[in-house]
Amino acid sequence: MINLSNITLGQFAKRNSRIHHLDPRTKFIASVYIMIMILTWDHLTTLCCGLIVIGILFRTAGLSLRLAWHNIASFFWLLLITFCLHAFITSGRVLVQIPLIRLTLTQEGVTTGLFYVLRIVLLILIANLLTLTTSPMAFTDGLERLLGPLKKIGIPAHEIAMIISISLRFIPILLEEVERIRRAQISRGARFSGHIIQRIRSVVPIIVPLFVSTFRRANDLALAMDSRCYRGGEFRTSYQSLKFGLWDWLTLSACFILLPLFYMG
Amino acid sequence: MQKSSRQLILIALMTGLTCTGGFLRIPFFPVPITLQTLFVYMSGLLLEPRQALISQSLYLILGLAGLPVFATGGGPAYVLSPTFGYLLGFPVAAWASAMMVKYRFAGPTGFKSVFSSLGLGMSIILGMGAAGLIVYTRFVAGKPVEPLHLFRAGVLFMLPGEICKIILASQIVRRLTPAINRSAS
Repeated sequence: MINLSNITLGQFAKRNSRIHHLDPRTKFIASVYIMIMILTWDHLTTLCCGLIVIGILFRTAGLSLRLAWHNIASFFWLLLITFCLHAFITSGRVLVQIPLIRLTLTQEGVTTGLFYVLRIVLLILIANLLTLTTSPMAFTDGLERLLGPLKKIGIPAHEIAMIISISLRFIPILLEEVERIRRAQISRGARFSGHIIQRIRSVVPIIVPLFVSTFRRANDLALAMDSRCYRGGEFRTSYQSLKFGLWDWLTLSACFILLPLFYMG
Repeated sequence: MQKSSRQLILIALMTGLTCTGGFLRIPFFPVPITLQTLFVYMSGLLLEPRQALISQSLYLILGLAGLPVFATGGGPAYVLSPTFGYLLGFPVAAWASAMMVKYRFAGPTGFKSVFSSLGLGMSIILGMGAAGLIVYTRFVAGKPVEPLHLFRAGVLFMLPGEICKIILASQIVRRLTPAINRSAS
């Protein structure tokens, strides 16, 4: 029913690289900026150059290119569908014609297909670079500080960061819980096969205990937080304070100066 | 016990549960049914409107930030995927269902009232999903497709599965209410 092995949540890979030591805010701003820039590039060659640069960034961060490849492979279907959609629908010089279903593969289609696939690959890799080099704690800290100014218009920045860190922590636990409940129900004779109505009904004995235990956990955690005097974001300090150093300024200015050059080229 | 920290944690856990929903699949031909929307409906029934909105929006943000919590992964590239409209519908649907429950247009447990509030949620998800498909075919793929075809593929095709999940949600809520009341006291 669920496959726990392919879940790479909290995929932070601890290394001792310059990119890992950057302030999470720098990485956020840089990745968002790079993603927006990628969406504006309209040449296949520019995207290829971008791919090489990202490859170098991966190596600088001490991450293997195989890891990048593995992450892209999980998007195989999205990429394949995108490619086929463009390759077969775009009109132009015919390369191959598939007789029975009257589909034609055109040269222009293949180029456009490759372009869109490459664009998605670049976006995936940038997001991966961010999550692989930023620990969940740094991630939420950075997010909280970035959302800070939005407090004035009523967006609860601290609460949002807190909720994100709690749910990040709990996703693996909840998944394990599902597996545990499923085994417990099987040992009591529950069946997860049969026709469709039976299969749908078989979810109830998993979901109900899941919710009950979730509510129990929520109570326990709330009690633990209250007994440690948690009172929200006001006057709260953190153990590791974020510092915006020289390398952060250098990275950001490099991003903002160099990327438009790509665009012109 | 302070009420606020428990509420905070509940929002977080509903976000977490929606993420796990993507991994819970009922094998079914041709596409397996995932239980994500079940948790969207559940958060609409169990949380306050604002909390439901926050929990589902954060689910979206986590997915877009690159955690593989959507049906086929995650990451900002999902904005360009054909099914992004459905995902955008999640927070709106959860909020709308919670509003229905809050203002007593529909009580939380009765079969009929659950149906009406979740029916609204479902129509929002499917409606926004279909709109997302139209936007995708027109602007991302650059090839407009007949709206009727999209309606058939994007709404009618999903309808049976969603109705099953609504029935499930109503059954689950009915069984859960005594347990929640016990744990809240």
